Amino acid sequence: MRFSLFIITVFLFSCNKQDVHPVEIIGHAGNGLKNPSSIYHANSLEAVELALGTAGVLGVEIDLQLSADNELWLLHDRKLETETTGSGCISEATFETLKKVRFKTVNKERLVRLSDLNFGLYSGKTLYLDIRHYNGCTEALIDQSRIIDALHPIIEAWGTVHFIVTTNHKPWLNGFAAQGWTVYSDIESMSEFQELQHYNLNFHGIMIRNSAAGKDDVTRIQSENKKVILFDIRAPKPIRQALKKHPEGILVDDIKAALIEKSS
Amino acid sequence: MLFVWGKSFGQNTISTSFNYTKTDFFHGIEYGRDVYTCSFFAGFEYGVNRTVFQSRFFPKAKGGVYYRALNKEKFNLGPVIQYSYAYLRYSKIPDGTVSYHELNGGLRWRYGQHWQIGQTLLIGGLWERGRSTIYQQPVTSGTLGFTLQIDCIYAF
Repeated sequence: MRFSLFIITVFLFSCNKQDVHPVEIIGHAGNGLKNPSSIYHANSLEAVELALGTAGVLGVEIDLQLSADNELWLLHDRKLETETTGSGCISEATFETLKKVRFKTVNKERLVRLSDLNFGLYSGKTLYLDIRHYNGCTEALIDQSRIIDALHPIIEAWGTVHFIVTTNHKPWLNGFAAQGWTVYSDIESMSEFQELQHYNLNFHGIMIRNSAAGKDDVTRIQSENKKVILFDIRAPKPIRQALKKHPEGILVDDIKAALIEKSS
Repeated sequence: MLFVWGKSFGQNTISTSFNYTKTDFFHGIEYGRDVYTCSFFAGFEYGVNRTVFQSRFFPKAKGGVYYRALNKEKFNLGPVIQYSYAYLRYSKIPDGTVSYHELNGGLRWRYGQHWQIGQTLLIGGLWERGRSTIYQQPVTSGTLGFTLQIDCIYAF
């Protein structure tokens, strides 16, 4: 009798554990993109390290653009003048110009290269590398081999950091996956997911807007053995809704609001 | 002597305020005690978004001094300095806490006699302090802080 009760109890606790899906909280562009309560500017070294150092945060997403001299720089905007002291586009500038550029904020954070990050400190953390596939000024497509050459030494050198390459340019998915990298496709709708499968593209997960994917959509993607990251989540209510869909992660601008919701 | 000469020596005030800062909307109460033309105040607030909408208590304690440079019978205006400390536990896991220190200066005005209304506009330093899991030590991050506050005051 006692043994039966023990078995039932173990079974019930096992069921509970399965229901609690671990959702990873990921900082959008470091500590949040256009987040009024953020201390540091999006995609700055300070923002990345503040987010990664926050208890409960396992990863951050950063936006990367390739310079004329084949270095990957952290910046979201197409034009430098939008939020920095520089002008023009990263695609048409070199290290000599970009090293002097700072964000127009109180802290005047420096524009940094991917290689400037202190990867030695990020052991066990995940960096989602959102790669811009076109020239910000001319919109001309960038040669993927240049991106691969710039990323390769960093990903190879820092094995303790989990790198996930993300792109919304579908023709690049197979090229990144062929390097043995974890690749996520950034999509706008579920019809794009069907398209990815139709063309038999090689990817490990998708990033999709929270409003574009319901719980059933998330479950369907996961049933295809793909990970799901939901993004464009700002206020506590959408955070709560996103967590209930049980994706692998949510990309958020207010990290503390997300951690509060997760631990509630 | 001009700085310590005033019309309302010894007056007390109790006020309720609603303010917007970089970290949250706050609501709270404040007690003030006039000493000549200065008013020393202390108060307690809570972050509305975190406390009400996220069920996570976000308390703030503050104190400061207001100098009534212009001190008429029904209207006063002058500089104010304020220090505040807020604390947030955002996660139940170890190191899931952060504190905010703010040192601000600005302007305050108040209108009325027993019942008054007023505004306080502050700008200054905001420092967030918490333990970094990558540096394995407490880190402080600073930026520009601000407070836009509306006050409703009872003087007695």
